[in-house]
Formats: sequence, structure tokens, C-alpha cells
Amino acid sequence: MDKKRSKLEVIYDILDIIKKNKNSIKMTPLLRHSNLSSERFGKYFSELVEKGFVREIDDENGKSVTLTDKGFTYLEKYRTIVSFIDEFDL
Amino acid sequence: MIFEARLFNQYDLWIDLTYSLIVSISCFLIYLKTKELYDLSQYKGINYFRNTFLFFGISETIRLLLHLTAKFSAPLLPVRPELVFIFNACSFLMIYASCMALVYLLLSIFWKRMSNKSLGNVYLAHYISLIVAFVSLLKDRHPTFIIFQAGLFVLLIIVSYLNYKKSKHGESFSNIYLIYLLIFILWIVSNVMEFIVIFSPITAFIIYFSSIIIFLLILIKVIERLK
Repeated sequence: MDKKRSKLEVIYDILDIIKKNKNSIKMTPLLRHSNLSSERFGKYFSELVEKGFVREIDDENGKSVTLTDKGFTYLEKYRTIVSFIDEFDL
Repeated sequence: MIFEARLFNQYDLWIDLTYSLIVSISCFLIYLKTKELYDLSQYKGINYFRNTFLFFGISETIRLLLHLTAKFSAPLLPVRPELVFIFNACSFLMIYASCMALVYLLLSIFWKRMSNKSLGNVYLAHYISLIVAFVSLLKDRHPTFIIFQAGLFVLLIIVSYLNYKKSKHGESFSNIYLIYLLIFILWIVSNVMEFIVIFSPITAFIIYFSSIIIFLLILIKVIERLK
């Protein structure tokens, strides 16, 4: 896997963890399940927020992370993106 | 100037127009249909791939408009010399877009081998294409842009070979590279027909028809992948 493909995959994995946790997860377990260093995770997480894939929610139980509609769309289209890249060798 | 001389010696106008129309619509459809994929992934390869077809589309649209305008304004040329300037300005844009389409096609399969610093120099390719277009129009039948595009074609062959050696995809890999090579060849030959040499109508028809098939094939592949 090349560097850029890995990036798409890491984004998919982070979003998938959130989805599998009934679309709500605290930062600490998300970091743990993502298998990334805290520095790399921080960079990815900032990017996900910036791109509008996830949002942080602050409620009585503390801060948690949920997927936005765009995040769900990414999960849905991920296979299409990967197969498109493979098909045209991009 | 080359352009007006060439425009009024066209092959069957309707074959010309049908070719330009089908190719430009196919290219714009590819560009639009891949928008969501790029918006979601922000993947550079997809961006370069989309730009390839955007520039192919722009070049073909200008060509279409030029041929239509030339057809209906021919009697006005002796009394409206500014039309010659408009034709040359449009052919300048057409050559520029044509060169950039090939640059982006090359980038879409080569970018993974390039450093981020080199990728920042895409602007350099725009400047070179602008200069190539300018020089090509400065001198009648000057083949500068054909030489430039032929150089890109040689690069494509080298990159295709390197990627093929590295490939693990087998048959699907060689198929897509064959399509890329055919696009390059047919595009360069159609440019030669447009600006440099007038081919026989049969040869022109075969080249236009093959180009349409290749562009439609890519459009179908894109639509299939997006299902």
C-alpha cells in the first residue's frame, strides 16, 4: 500500500470505529482502537473535523465524537473510491 | 496564418462537429461524475484525472465553437479582419488546453513517484504550455506543440513501463495503460490534422471514430466504477 492509499484507509478505519460504537465514542477509546500514535491520531482527527466528517459533542457525559452525514457518505463510498483508484491506476 | 487556412479546408464539417461534440460531452461528464469522489477523498490522483478530462473537454469545446464560427463567418473575413485575431486567440487557448490535458494525464499516473516539491511545480507545466501555445501560433505550421506533446508521449511510455514492472494487477493494468497510450496517440494525431497536415477524409474519419470509441470507453468505465 502506498502512503496516500494508507491515508484513505486510516480515515476509513477511524470513521468505522465511530460507526460501530453506535456513532458515539470518547476520544480515549477512539485513539486506542485506531492503532495510531497520539501525534498521528491528532493530525488525522483535526483533518476529519476540518473536512466535516466528524463532530465533537459536549454533553453531561463529557466530550464524545460522532459522524456527520459526510462521514457516513465516506464510509459508504470508500470501496468505490478505492476501486476507482485501482481501475485507473491513479 | 495556419488556423484560418486550416479551418476552411476542413473534412466534412458534420463529422468534425459530431466528433467534437461527443468527445467534449464525454469529458465533461467524466469530470462532473467524479466530483463527489474527489470531494470526499481529496485524493491527488483523482484530481489530476479529473483535470485531464476538464482540459480535454475545454479544448474540444473551443474547437467545436471555432469550426462553427468559421463555417458561418467565412464570407465576413475579408471585411472583418478582427475575426482572424479571434480565431488565433481561440486556437491559442485550444493548444494550451490540449497540452495541459496530456500533462494532467501523465501526472495522474506518475504523481506517486514524484516528491511533493515537484508536484508543487504543476504551475510550471501551465507556463510551459502557454509558451508552447504562443510559439506554435507565432509561426505558421510551427510544430512546437506537437514536439512538446510527443515528448510527453515518450514520458508516458517510460512511466507505463515502470508502473507495469511494479504492477501486481496483471491484465487490468495493461488494459488501462493501453487506453491511455491510445488516447495520447489519437489526440496528437488529431492535433496534427487540425493544425499541420490535411489527411485524406477516410483517414480523418478513422481517427475521429477511434477517438470517440476511446473516450466513450473511459466514460463507460467511470460510470461502471461509480455504480
